[in-house]
Amino acid sequence: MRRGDGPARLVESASSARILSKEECDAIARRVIGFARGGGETRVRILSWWNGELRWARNRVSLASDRRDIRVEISRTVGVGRGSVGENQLDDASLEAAVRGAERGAVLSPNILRPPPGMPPLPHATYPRTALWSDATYAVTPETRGEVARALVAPAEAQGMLSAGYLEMRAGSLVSVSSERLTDPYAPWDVPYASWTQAQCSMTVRDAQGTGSGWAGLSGSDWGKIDGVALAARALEKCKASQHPVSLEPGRYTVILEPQAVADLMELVAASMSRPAPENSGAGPWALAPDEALHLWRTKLGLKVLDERITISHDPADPALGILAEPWMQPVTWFDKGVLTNLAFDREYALDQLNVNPGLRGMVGYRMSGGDTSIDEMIATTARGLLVTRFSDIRRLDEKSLLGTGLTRDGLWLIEHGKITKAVKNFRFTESPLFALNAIEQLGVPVPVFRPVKDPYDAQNPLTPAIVPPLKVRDFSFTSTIDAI
Amino acid sequence: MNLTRRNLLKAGALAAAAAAIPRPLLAQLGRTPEPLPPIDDPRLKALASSALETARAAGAVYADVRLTHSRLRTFWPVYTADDESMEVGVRALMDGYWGFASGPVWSPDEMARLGREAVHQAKVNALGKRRVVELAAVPVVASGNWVMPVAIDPFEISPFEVQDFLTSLDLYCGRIPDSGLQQNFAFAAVQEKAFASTEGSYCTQRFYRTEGSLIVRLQLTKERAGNFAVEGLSPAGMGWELYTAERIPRLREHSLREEIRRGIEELREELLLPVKPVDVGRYDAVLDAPTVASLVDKTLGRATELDRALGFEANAGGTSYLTDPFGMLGSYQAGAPAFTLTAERSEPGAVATVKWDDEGVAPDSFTLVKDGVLTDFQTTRESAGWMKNSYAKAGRPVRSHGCAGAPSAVEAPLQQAPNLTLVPGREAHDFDALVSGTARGIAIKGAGIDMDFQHSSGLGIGRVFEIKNGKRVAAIDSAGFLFRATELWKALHATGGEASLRRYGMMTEKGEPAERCYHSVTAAPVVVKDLTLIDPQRKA
Amino acid sequence: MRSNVRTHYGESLLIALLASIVLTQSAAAQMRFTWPDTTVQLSKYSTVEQCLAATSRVSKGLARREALTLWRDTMPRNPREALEPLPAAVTETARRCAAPFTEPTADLADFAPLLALYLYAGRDSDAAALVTRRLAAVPAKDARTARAAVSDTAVDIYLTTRPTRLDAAERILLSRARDGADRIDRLDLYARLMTAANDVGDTVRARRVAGWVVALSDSLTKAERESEKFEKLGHGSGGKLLVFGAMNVLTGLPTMLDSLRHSTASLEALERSMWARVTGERPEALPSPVGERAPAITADYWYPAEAASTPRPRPGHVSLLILFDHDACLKWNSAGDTKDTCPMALASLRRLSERFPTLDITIVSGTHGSFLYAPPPTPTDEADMIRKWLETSRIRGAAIAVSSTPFWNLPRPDARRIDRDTPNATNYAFRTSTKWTYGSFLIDQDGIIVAAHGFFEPDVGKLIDVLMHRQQQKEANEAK
Repeated sequence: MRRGDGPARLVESASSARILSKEECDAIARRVIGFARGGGETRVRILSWWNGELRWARNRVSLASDRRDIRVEISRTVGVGRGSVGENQLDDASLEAAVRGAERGAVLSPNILRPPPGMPPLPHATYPRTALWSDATYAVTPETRGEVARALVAPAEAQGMLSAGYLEMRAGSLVSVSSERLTDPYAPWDVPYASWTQAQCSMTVRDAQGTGSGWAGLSGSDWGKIDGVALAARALEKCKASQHPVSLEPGRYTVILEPQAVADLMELVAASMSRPAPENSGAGPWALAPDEALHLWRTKLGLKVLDERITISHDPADPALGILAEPWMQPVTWFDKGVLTNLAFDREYALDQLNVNPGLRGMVGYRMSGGDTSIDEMIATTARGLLVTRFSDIRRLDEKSLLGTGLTRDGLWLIEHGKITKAVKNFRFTESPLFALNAIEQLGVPVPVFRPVKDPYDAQNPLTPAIVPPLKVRDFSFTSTIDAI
Repeated sequence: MNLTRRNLLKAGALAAAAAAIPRPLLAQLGRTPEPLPPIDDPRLKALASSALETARAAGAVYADVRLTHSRLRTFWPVYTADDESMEVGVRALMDGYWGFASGPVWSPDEMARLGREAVHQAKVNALGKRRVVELAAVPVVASGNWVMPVAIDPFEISPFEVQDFLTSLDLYCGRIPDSGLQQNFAFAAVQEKAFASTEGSYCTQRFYRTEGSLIVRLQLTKERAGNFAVEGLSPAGMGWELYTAERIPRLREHSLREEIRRGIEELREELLLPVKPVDVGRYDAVLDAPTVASLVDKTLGRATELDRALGFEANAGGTSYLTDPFGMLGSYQAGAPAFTLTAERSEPGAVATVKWDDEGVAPDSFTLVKDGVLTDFQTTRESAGWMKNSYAKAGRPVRSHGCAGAPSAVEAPLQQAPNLTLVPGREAHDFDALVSGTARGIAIKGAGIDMDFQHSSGLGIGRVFEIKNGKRVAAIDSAGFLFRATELWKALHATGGEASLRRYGMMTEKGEPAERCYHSVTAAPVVVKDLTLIDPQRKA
Repeated sequence: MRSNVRTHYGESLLIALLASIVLTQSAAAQMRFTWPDTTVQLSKYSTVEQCLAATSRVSKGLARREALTLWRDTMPRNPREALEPLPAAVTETARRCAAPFTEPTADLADFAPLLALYLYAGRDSDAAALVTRRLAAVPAKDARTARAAVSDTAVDIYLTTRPTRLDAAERILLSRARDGADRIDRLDLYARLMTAANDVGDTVRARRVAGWVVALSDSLTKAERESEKFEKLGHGSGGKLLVFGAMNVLTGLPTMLDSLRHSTASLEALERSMWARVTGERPEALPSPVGERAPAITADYWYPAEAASTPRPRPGHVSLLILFDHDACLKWNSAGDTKDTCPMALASLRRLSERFPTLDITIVSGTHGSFLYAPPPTPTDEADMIRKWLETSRIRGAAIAVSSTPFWNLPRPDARRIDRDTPNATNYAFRTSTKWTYGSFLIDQDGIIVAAHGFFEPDVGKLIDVLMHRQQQKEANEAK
């Protein structure tokens, strides 16, 4: 199964393959373009997705689904205007009606588009190789999902616990072409056909009285790399260990953050990694100071902002990461031994401000460096601290310091004299990842974490994998106790 | 059982003819194209029935199907964007297990495939441990059609009129010194839905949802600046009259133009107040209507979802602080005696208002909390079944309250929130009157609320003011409040009157994968005692 | 089991297919994207702003339709355009929508937008009545200031609606003058009326109002002259330049052309005396390079190549130098749209080149390390792309001088490019205390700068004409 070639085999139904193949997309684009009237350029963006889902609660499957849908966006540039419509039907009448709707929009569009003469030819964008498709994911049948779910639930049920969880296999395809470059979509704003898969598996095990809760989960493009049984065992273990938690005084603690917790906290950083904001207006955490002479803001690029043991990077060819190919995906290191090395920028910025090509994508998926201290070793070397499974409901409080607040969830334990002594009630934290990543005591081995597409309506960003280490951090600020378990 | 070409060909020449049409042209089975029929066209009933027949033939004890045709129109002052889609989804129940299959194609072949696939999904899981599903009985709707009444269909009005109206708001705002519109666009959605079940129900409906974003910015000086969202434009089960009406009870007392002017005046006054730092402590607090609506929604609104209370959202949004739903029913003190929370899906103009829900149930009005005591939960046909013993004890019928819903037919129906109303106080107080009646305390406006995953405690951050002798005398910088749901509602001291009720359209995300649905929450401003004020940015 | 299922399936499929045949025109999936009747019912509009919005929409729609066949950007500017009546559709929309807003019953709270609407509808007498009624309704306290504010608003609207109502604006300004009030505000208003009149070629009025500007300026106190408000006049270019502009208008283009006809030095002396007259400063303080020797243009790339061998500005020729930036003209976005914001200037250069074949036009530019969406070009490639673009403007005989702009980069990893000035930019900076940067220079046959403007100056043709005739005269005299 080669990258970008579409599904290796169709489901045996003649009436529907689960996602559109390259040939089908080409045919649809041709038909749409064929309906255009009045000259000008036609652009077609076709997205298709399929989900195989299985959800369970209280140790029983609550719903198993097979769902799929399509989205076609048609844009027509006629005369001096452009209009576009979106729809999800592939029959001739629908596509033609959509083209007419787009043409109507073009006539009414507010901007007058008139490409000037004598412009240089459109450049040819290059696309990096990425690893996105997994036959293992795509081939999982409902039967297999059912078997997997039963295997994941059984241990929890056997111990009198209640398991709730979710399994999802997803595949999608995307293409965006123009009538002017139909056979060779080379412009930076074209997207040659690409397809991807994603799998996720997560579960929450609680005791019947609700005094304990454990969670484990993992996501990625390859179902073969997700060991559901191990996840289920971990969730059950955490549930048992977290029962009957005691209240602890809020305050600053040394914390051992499991990789999932580190990734949750890093969302605050990942969302603020672009160049123009700090450079134009001093916004965000990376602005340094205004330079009156040059009429711009200097940034912290080149300055050490995190512990020197932290390097955060992404390589689109990395099989463990792989993100939907876009012409501005290049290998990038955002933090190099603690030094802020790159912030995202688009192609216009790249050409204009840096005289380079192409742009640099933001921290959508990333790999974070670590060390080789195991979590057990971290515990053993902690005089007094807390072990955190993950965080939930994080909200940013301040854009300059990235101070955020959120809650611990699904397992919080007190460590005393190198041993876990008690389960602790969840805390609300008020802390900044930038502070935490400057207060690192120990680092562990980076592993993939649960970071599936947050918004199923935004299939354009289907994969946001992250590989993150566990960290021991000192002086982590917990500001109040909560009762929620 | 998968359908192969071979099987099709064996089934007959006609079948072969159908099968030979390659995807994607299968959607067009009629001989000539024709416009999409309205949802109450009898031919759609036949289509829906064929899905159910296939499901039943494959072994389902119960199945239902939804077809939806959705249109979305976004209006900006100079441009209009259109989106249209069709979806169909079939749900089947077999041996206590549910299966669901959905897709974008309306055709007899697809109906058959979905019917089979839904049963297949259910069957696969029925191989596991036993599970019992009792669906609460529902009267059969042999044939029903309902159109949400709106004064101005936003899809029948000239888009130019809409653009002119939005531009006029821009022009009006520009006349007022120091102010400008930061955001100005409107959204209209219409969905036609057909529902059929193997119990013989068939009903068709049309729903509207209109909403807008109108954010006004006021910049007095470099430091003193702020913005506000104009009242009354959160998602509503209304048409374009949401914008043009001179006054809409429970949404706004004045025209939008006048709301802009009043909002700017009020914000100007607030920006001119002296600014003080937070003095952490407990205060009597006057909360404005949108703050109360968010609080109600995110505490009891979520906690009384029965599926959530029983752990069906544990792996997603979390659980409920009503940890023993059956035991707490009728006895749990969820709030002060003055606190009564009702629910329905019938209020005109509210955004969860329907004639029948996604299971063909006509929702009723019910009370979740009466005089402070928990009296009911939000239910669907399945979850109402769980309540059967509790209802029997209370002498109430076992019936679904009609909370099943999904954004479109491609998503499976889940239990979604209905419209909620916090019953107002008897006296005709409004926010200003409640402030006047407070000697010392704080006032909180427009707070965003973050809850924990049991919906039991939370953090609110909004605009906070110091009250002294019945007047707002200072703005408190960087303030937030912490609360526990039950404590908060027990500390309810006063509620605004009927005239101060305001209705807000809320969007919730629920389920795995997440589904976005809308419902309205109607609330009045309130006074609560001993609210904990904090500086949310202060570290330990 | 399997065969049972198959038969079962086969039956149900047959049923489904039979059903589909019965449903001959089956419920097929066809999207509609229908639009309703788009006719707008103006009679339903209840606010003035809605009427203004409708009028503006109709006007933009007409402009969009016109843009299909007419490329306004490259047409010569019509100075009297602002006086021409609006298209009938626009006036009609305004008229029909404004019908319910009758004088004298319309709400005075809507004064400003209603005044504009009346004017768009052609209801000038109603407009005047509205202004009168509004002025009369000011509160007794601070009546003077309030009336001045109303007058200012009215003048603004009379000047910005189309067609421009210069008479009405002038009338109001005169009556406002009697009210006293803030003199710098009045100065600003006079200058705006003067500019509006000048723009439409109403030189009689322009000179009259220019006289008011100069007279008012003469009467300012020292404190007023040094105030921040005075500095901010003319969109920040400052009160001195504003008054100097009035002096230019008062003096009149014919007088200045007469001076130039005599000699460049004459024009220079005239301008310097004008500056001294209105600002009270020394004549040398004139913030204009008139009279300076034009520095030689240097370049790394010349097009055509032969242009490198002749010094520019060319001795013995009238020269027009345009200093510009392709960065400032050409824009693009991630959707692939490209836009040129400078066609008007380039088209006017072309017309000049056709009208004056011996006019020497040099376009002076510099590289930036990027040209729109093209991959990062070398300076040579970028110069070539600049040339290819400019050649489409067909400016006859124009030379293009491109300097490889010196630059540095902020240290890595920031690496932002910081351009330095090219030698041409340094030489032609002529920076004064004002914040003007000149974009075009007119140079006489002796290499002396006659005029410096922003990027685009519609009257430069008249200056060139005079210089050409001066040369002919000189040559004729020498021949004798």
